Amino acid sequence: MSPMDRRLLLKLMGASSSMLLAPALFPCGALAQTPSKTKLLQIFLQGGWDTILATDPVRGPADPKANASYEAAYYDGGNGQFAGAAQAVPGKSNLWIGPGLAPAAAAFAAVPTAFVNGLFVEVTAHELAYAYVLSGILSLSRSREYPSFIARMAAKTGGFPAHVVLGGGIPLAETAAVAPPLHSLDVDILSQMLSGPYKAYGQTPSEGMIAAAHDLIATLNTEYQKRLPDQAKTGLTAWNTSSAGIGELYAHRYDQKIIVDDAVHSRYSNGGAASPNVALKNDSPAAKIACAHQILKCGMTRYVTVGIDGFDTHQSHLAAHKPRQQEVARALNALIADLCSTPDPDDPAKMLIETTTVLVTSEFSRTPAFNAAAGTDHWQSASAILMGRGIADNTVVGATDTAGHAADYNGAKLLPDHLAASLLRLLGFDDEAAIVSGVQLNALFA
Amino acid sequence: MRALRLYTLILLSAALTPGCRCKDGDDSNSGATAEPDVDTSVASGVQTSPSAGGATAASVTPPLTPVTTSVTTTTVAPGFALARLTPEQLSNDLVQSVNFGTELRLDAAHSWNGQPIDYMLLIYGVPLGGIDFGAAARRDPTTKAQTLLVSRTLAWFYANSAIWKDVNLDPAARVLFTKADIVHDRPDATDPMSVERWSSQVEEWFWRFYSRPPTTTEVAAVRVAFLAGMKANVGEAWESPYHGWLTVLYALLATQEFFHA
Repeated sequence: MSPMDRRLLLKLMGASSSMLLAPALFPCGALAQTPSKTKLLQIFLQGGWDTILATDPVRGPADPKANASYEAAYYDGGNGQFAGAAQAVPGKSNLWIGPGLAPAAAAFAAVPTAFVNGLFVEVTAHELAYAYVLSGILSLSRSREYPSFIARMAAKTGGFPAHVVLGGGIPLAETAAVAPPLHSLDVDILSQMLSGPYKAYGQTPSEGMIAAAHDLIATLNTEYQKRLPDQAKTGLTAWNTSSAGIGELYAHRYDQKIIVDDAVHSRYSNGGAASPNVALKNDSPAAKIACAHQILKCGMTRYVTVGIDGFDTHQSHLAAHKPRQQEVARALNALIADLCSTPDPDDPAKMLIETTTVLVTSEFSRTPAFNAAAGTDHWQSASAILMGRGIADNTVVGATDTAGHAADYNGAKLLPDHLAASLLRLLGFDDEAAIVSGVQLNALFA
Repeated sequence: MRALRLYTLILLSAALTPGCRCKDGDDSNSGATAEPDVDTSVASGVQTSPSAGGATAASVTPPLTPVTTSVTTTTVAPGFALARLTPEQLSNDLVQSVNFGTELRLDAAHSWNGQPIDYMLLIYGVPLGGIDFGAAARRDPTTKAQTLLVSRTLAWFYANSAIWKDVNLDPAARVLFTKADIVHDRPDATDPMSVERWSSQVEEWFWRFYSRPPTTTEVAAVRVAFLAGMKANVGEAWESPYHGWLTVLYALLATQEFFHA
């Protein structure tokens, strides 16, 4: 690793930290053609995030997106200058970030990173756009739900849980029955669920007692289903699927491995620095992203979605939106540092960052100008950040035009379908990708 | 107030019974029995009625004039409403069946202004796949992995809490253990009366939780689990049936039957 990378990484993790140095930027092979063991961590910012504060910033007063309303975003000691507010990621001249992502600059510098701008989202109603971006399939009638692409991967891969969702739910459609996710609103509820019958109320229960109870549950369930008509049994498919795997899940004692406490929460809240102490808040971006790392670390599943809300700022946009983005950016910084120093449980010779792709996206972006309430409204252009395994470094695919609209990419609209299908192919799910789209964004991938 | 709250819960439960469809096209919980289509363009005299098995039975009355009649029916199997209980229903069931509920009553300084908040609903409402507090119309009744995990977590919590509560009640006031002595009666006792009391208690629990008696297979399975749980948790000088009951109650509260209507 070059001295510049090492200094940046130390800054990433805190000067007083003695954590391991991240390995050099790793060369990634061609897109996998068979389901790989690549992990996917999807961070979905619910409500529509402001890409001007993020991956598509105002780069100077001559930038068509510059307007007086956004001056406050770059206010630095009162000079109201745009210049310097948007910054290039150190060492990556193509990647420019706004003040909302500034706390994550070191993370972007340390690992392969690509941005996608100008994803044209035809619908700007939250539910429709949310489902569209997550699944890659646009459904205007709301008469049918399509599974999110991460749910497709989970259904193909299997396991219990097939995937984990922290925060808001994601569309599952038919995958709900065959590969039900483990969904928790926050980290505390997740911990309680994973502890299950091992939680001690007075006396710690013995394994034999729990095993006896679980055998009885299985017998009673079998007897119960014998009395049900066939049609009714279909409603229990997901329950039975989960029952088959719950014994092994409990045996792993993930409740003792996935621990998000004040110390962990502080590190993720501070962008990797251990202090100051930030008391644990179970549903904060820091807590959920930290929990996602630990889920990958202990090998509970390969696919994790973290939903973070608070971005639909129709009023007081800058006061609410920028701090929220920065909160996520700090957590992202700490996440990347941890991924760089955590061995992959499936392949301990590699660090998780070598086998994990991180995706940050939202259902759409915000209007480039403010409304009467100093807020922003929905805008038909989304963007995404891709980091880690398989990603072409220092790459930007797509753009917005002079008015902030999604610009054509190679003569056509760049769509969420394309991104979803490309990720499916990257992770080795060609059949599932074909369902979503035949287009592949080769420029994104190494 | 308690009656009003229970009434409200019943009303809410009734409003959330099968038939509430959270997604267009999702008929899995519709619970409706489809009526057969009858061609009524023909003259009178033919009446059909759906039987319990869904087939159409025709009873023909003599026509007033000789006409050729034909009836076209479409037979549809009756739908079976297997719906998972909502958190409110579940909470109510737990209060009624194990005499234990978890409720917070916040003081007037809090925004809820002293109103009772059901703990289970508050903590587990959405992960259980139940009601989305923000919008009740966005309920998702499908079962997820966390549904099962939460069911086990709840069952364990309530089993421990309910037994502990009952044990500390005056014997005449107990709700769970009305047939057997919690620390003495067991299925392998040398005293046949003790065994009889144990069996009666198991049967009473099945009526309490499932509104039916246990089958022979179920009683045998319960006996095995009781003895295994009792012997596995030897933390004191003797095998305490207390642990056997805890094992059984945890299991009974974690079954699919308990979580579905």
